[in-house]
Amino acid sequence: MTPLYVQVRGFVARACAGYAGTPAEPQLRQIAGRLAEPLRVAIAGRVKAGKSTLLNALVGQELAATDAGECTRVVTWYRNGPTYRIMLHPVRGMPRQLPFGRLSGTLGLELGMAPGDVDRLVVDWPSPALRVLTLIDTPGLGSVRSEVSGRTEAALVPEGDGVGTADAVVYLMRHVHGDDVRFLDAFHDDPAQRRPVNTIGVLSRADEVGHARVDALDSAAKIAERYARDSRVRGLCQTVVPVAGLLASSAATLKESEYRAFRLLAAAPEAEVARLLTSADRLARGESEVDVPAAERAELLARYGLFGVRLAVELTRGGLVTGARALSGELLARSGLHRLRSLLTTQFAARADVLKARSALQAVELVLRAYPDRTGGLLHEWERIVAGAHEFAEIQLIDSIRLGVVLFTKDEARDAERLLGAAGVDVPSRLDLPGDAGRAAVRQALGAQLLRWQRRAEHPASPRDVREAARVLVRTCEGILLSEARAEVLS
Amino acid sequence: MQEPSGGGHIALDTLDLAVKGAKAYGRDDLVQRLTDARRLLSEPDVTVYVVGEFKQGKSSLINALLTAKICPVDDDIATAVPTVVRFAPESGALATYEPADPSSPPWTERISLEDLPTHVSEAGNPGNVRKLKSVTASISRQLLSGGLVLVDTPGVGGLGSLHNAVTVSSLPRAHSVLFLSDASQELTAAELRFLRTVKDLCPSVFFVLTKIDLYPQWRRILELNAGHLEACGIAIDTVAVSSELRTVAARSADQEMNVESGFPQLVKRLQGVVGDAERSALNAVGLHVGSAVGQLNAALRARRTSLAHPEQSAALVAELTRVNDRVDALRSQSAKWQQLLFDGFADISSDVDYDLRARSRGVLHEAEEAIEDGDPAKNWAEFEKWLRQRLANETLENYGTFIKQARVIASRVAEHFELAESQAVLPREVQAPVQVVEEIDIDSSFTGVKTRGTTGMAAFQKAYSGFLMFSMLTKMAALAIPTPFGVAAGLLMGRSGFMDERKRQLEKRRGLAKTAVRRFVDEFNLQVGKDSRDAMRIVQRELRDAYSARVEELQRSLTEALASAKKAVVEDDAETGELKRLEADIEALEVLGRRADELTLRSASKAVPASVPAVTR
Repeated sequence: MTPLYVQVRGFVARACAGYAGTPAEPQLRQIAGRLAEPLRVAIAGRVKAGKSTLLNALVGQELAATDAGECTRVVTWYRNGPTYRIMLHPVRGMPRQLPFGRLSGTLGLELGMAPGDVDRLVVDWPSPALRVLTLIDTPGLGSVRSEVSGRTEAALVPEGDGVGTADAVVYLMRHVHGDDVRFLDAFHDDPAQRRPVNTIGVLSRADEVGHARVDALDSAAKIAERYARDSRVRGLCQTVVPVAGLLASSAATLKESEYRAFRLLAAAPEAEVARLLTSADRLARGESEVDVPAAERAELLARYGLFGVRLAVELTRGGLVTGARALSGELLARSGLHRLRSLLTTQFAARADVLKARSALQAVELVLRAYPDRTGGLLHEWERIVAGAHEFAEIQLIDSIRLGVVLFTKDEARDAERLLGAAGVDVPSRLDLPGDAGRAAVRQALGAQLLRWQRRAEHPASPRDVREAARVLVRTCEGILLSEARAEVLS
Repeated sequence: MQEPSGGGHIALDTLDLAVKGAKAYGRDDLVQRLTDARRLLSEPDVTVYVVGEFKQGKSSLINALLTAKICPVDDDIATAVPTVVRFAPESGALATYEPADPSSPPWTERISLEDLPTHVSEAGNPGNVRKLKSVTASISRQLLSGGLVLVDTPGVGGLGSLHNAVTVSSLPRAHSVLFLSDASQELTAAELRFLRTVKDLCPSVFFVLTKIDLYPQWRRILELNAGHLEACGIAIDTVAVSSELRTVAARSADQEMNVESGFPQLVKRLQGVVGDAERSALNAVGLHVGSAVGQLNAALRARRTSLAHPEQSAALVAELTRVNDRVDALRSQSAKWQQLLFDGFADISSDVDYDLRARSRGVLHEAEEAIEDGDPAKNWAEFEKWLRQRLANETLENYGTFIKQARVIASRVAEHFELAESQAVLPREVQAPVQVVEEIDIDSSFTGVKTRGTTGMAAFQKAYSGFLMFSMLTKMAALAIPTPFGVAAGLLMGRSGFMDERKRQLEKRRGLAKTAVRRFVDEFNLQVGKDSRDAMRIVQRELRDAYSARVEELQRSLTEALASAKKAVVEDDAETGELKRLEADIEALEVLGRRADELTLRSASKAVPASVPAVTR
């Protein structure tokens, strides 16, 4: 918990007290409530990008319904709760609880009204994964049915000066499509609000990129890297990672019977298995002496995809894994889900406090300007926090660099982003040092950075925006130096 | 050049004989026409384009089809430059570069097949920095030996769409198009729209569902796609294939897997396309020879009649004069075909122009709305790209409309020309010249109903300047950026204070942006409008010239026949000899005519040939 977060929490509490009994109170209470909530991550993307599948993989359970056709029609929130409960929030009227039912059929779930009249569904589910993140599943963009896409934009893009519903966005793309870029533009509508910093791009269905070869994900990683370097994509999201969603979601729930089937396939004559694995049709329908009936093979195929089955058989045959748990773990690691999860927990979660504090401050500002301040001083305090929060300046700078607004050289931009924590917020990764770098090395690198940015800030030929950016970086260096010095004294 | 088939040999022989005959009688116009017809046989290229969005497996399909690694395949976007694959006994490749000066001819460079990827692929030639126009790869494959030429295109949609519009604009020259979409998901709205344009540009299209080895639910996708196509009213043949399976099958010589890959079906379709093209070429040659023989015969028969039956010659002269008058009428401005041609193109011109303006106006509205919704300073470069891309797509669709309508007009003109010709037919009893018109009458190489390749379409293709329209789009000057990024980094939270000032500036930027866009669209209308009007005029002129040439030919034949009929009969030995010679020549011509008929009939066995290439002159 950062000092800034604590400061903002206190400020919001004081505002609540100050406005007690006024029409503004519920709004402020809501802001305070949201500050205490876990980070809200929306999963967005075009139709058939695999949003629900990825959500299931992140939760580790098959919560959201998935299908070969277009499936998700309603914005659905998944959050941690003591028991399983579904609340339906209509566009008009009071929220009401829906009867219990298996969720893996959100499509068939009795809404009692047309999907168009539903604002959102909120699903409470006890899950450790949801304790740190609240996930929001959205209907696909670029759907043939335009009202479906419209609802997603309405859910994600803040209206006017409002505050966005989600703190962060995971944006799924199969290829970078013209429509994708346009959507992200709309999403970051105001120039001051364009925030690549809270968006992660995911190259979804990554196994299909490499034609489901066992090394498919390596190619997918290369493509993701290229996308991440593309200046247009850089202006829209922090980074791009490949994820094989179907594999990840199924691997998390790998059954003992499935492992047995994989083992039988791995033990069967190699030529025969190779024949089966040449195509989906052969695997699901082909006659074979292998002791796994066609129906079971079809089931495996449906759950893991051709890539998943090939990979699982290879892993089992190579003796790399023994037991269902090990296989599940290895498949998960290969699916790219771990990388995404660690990005979410390190980058987003580490910034979650800052992002939430910023969201809260933005929301409070609207209230303060809309209603007369009875206690006095709240607006001043607000301005003091905003002006004093170096974290905001840092986040803003990352975005500006990504958008190409600051006239840095390529090297400078890279180093500055790293220093601001784009590659990881721990000190060595900020300085591009190995994780086990000694204190002396850290201090030396820090000194070099400090000097570099000081010079840039003072250089008469530097344009104004560069000077301002360099000053922010100088302050960042000083902050790190200070905390390092403190740590040294303490030890 | 590959060896012509058996039918081709006979056709060549027949042609050569006819040329000899025409030369003997000093008919240089017919010689010219027959020599031109010869080209149909000696250049039997049957071009098939492979198109689709990127990552649908276009290059893989070609490689699998030929079981050779020609087009670079990559998990990332691979093809940056159109690649033409044709037959040659020895493998090799030829790169054609865009010349720096558009008016000068492009220069070429010979490269080895192994170097192809560095020229063609996105990795070796990112964004086509080498300014390659196209690459031609040659390889020795049975499938290509019939003259089949495959063209691999960079994907449409996504990042390089403008470039692609240029490629697609050459589709009217294609014999057939393979439209690819993979089995991972059903056809998207964008794909359907593109498919419709492709169908306008080239009526012979096959839908190929690829990567069926990867997706267990491909049959369902196939069904869904069939539903979409039907809903759009696009009736096309569908093939489902797996390039992966075909490649594996080729490596292990596994016949069963080859069948599973679906490629035998595709190969059959392609052979059908080649067969159709060859047939229609033979058909056209037959018709040309038949027509030439008929015209040569006219003068000979007239002379024979006047020699053998002098009493009939007066009637003959009268008939011939009457026919001559009719043919004369064909020549006049008021002839129905001339009017049709003129009015038809006036209509097209008006329609196409209106269509173009309506389209660009729609784009303008959309652009203005986008500007109104956002801040133009924010993403002007992307916006500009979007604008160009949208305009390119609209131009393409507009172009499709033009081609479609031009085809209809060409066929209607042909119908009326033929009708007028048949009205110029002599009554049966007068022997000699009837043959002339009858022979010409079956010269259905005029009928535009047979679409591409008829005189009309051949002229159209020759004159066609579609490339201009698209290259112009890429060359049009950049839009002036209203204001540079002026948003300072410090505006983070305190933005409210600046609200009014910022709003004012934003409004100003929006105003500037709208003006810039309006000017751009205006310029676009002007340039593309001029280009397409020029294209229309050239096509119209070509059509008119082609038909006028026919009229002149006809007239010359008639004049000669008249002259022979009028020639005084002296009754001496020389005449007896002449009669003998005439009989022999007529006999020879009749044999030739029969051969031509046979060629025509045999090659026309299929109801309507997909295309009847005719000779343009």
